[in-house]
Amino acid sequence: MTIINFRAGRVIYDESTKIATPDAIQGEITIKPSEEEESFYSFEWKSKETTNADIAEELLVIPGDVQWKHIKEAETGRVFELSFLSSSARHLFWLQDINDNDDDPSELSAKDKKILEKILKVFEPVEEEEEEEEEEEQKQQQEDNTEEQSVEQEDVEIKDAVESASQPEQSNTDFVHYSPIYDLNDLFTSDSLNNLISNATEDQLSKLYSFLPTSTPHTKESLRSVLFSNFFRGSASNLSNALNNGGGFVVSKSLDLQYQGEGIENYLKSLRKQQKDDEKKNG
Amino acid sequence: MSAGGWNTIESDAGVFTELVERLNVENVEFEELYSFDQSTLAALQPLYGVIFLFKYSDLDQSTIGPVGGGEFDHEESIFFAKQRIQNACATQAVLNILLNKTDQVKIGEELTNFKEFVNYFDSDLKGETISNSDLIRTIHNSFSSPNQFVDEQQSNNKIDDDDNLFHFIGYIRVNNKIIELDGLKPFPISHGECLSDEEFIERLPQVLTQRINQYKEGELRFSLLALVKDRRELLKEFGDEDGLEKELVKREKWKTDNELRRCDLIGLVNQALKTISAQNEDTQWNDLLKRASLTGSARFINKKLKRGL
Repeated sequence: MTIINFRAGRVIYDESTKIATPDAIQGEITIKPSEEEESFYSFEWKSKETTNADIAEELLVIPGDVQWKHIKEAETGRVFELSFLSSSARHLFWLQDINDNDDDPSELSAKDKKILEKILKVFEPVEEEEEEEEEEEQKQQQEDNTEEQSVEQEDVEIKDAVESASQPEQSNTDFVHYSPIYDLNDLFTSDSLNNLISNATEDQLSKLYSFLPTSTPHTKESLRSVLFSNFFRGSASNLSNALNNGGGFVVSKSLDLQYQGEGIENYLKSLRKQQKDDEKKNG
Repeated sequence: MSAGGWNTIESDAGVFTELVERLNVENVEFEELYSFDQSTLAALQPLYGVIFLFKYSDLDQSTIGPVGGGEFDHEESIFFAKQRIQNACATQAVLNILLNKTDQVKIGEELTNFKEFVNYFDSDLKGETISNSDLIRTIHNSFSSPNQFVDEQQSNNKIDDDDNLFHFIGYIRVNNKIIELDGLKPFPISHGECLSDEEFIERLPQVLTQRINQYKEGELRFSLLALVKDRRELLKEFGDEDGLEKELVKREKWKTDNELRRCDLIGLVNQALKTISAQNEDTQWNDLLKRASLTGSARFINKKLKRGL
């Protein structure tokens, strides 16, 4: 069990003036495994001063979702930034242990470097053991599912399905395992939708237009308003629900995709494969 | 989709308006109310009735009598159908209002025949007959998307559904009284004498407030929809061209929205993902997936933290 503890103060950052001000309160940061959730960490900053004893901040950290970065631009001290990828929230801290270098207050001491190393290790995404376990589970699930479906579906398709389900992740050797995607809407951020529309080729656009309601004009604006509507979100969650609840085979059939197993991840894998195959075919 | 089933439809002014239009009701529309003081209601005249829709709570379940004052009215000339099917309750509430306002609203041939047909039925059987009406059900269902995967997801949504169980109550003036029509109560509820439409507008805010006050502060999620005369007709009469222009834009938006509701957008979801896939190299694509999974985990944890684990 890793517990990291070091002296640090907060740095207050004013978004409007873009000025970062170190907070004078003496404090310490403790990073330890979360009591609430296995494999997560609790990141706590706490005041060490008796007069300000109850000032504290606790953040729940998921390995892989956070970055701990040395802000080299800060020359008057050693400032670090904790940033969350999922929420893009940022927190700044400055190290309060003396670094013994009178000329350069921003230089990292040997002790600082050790701490940095430890933190980076803790914040790395979880892989190894857990991945294997989950894969086992997934495989089991896939087998269960294909068994269920074999009752209703035609033989040939089942063979295909079992074959593809029992050869997982051939092409993705460098595939790092994160927790599964629960909702396709998480892929449709406003950034990704904006990029999708502005980068789309004429060919891609006309394919997208063909899925719009009949009276909707074939323009980027109307496509945008549909993609950003609640109705689109609703359909994406309907599809997610189907995929999360054993509907993968039916979904693959109706969307003309090769069945690669249950769940959103497998659906995306097969979608990506089909898209790449199409690309090859069309030169 | 099971045959004969009722889908949930959104409680939206545009949905309800097109729904009654498809039932051949003439010259009416629904208008969402953001406040319900007397002057707001007066601006909407003629006001035929109001639908109060809110999250169904323990209080409603455990109270047998009227929840927000008033007393049961056993007068049989009031059209009152009890609610039989949860998903049909919006349409049921709309009909409970409309079929009592035939002196002011042309409800069309179908609904007139329907009203005659059920005239001597008790309120249970009236509700049952609505549930069994192919015509009403087909029109009601036409406002939900033909979700091809609906069967697979049904079991999954149950937990959330409990949070979203909405109930619809109608308020109208009929027989010179303010009447509350709650399809889960045995009878209509009278809130006392009310001799004119002006008086209805004057007193309704108080009746609604009384109802709302029964719930703990901040606990009640509700909205109000007013059944009024087609605004376009009114604005034409007044010669208000700006107002008419806005109204036409609103109608256009309703039309587009309703079309999207009917359309199954899963094909578009799939095509959008394919396009994103085509636009991104492996590293970018994997990065997108990673972000999506982290967003999901973060939401999951936040939900858990909010519930106090």
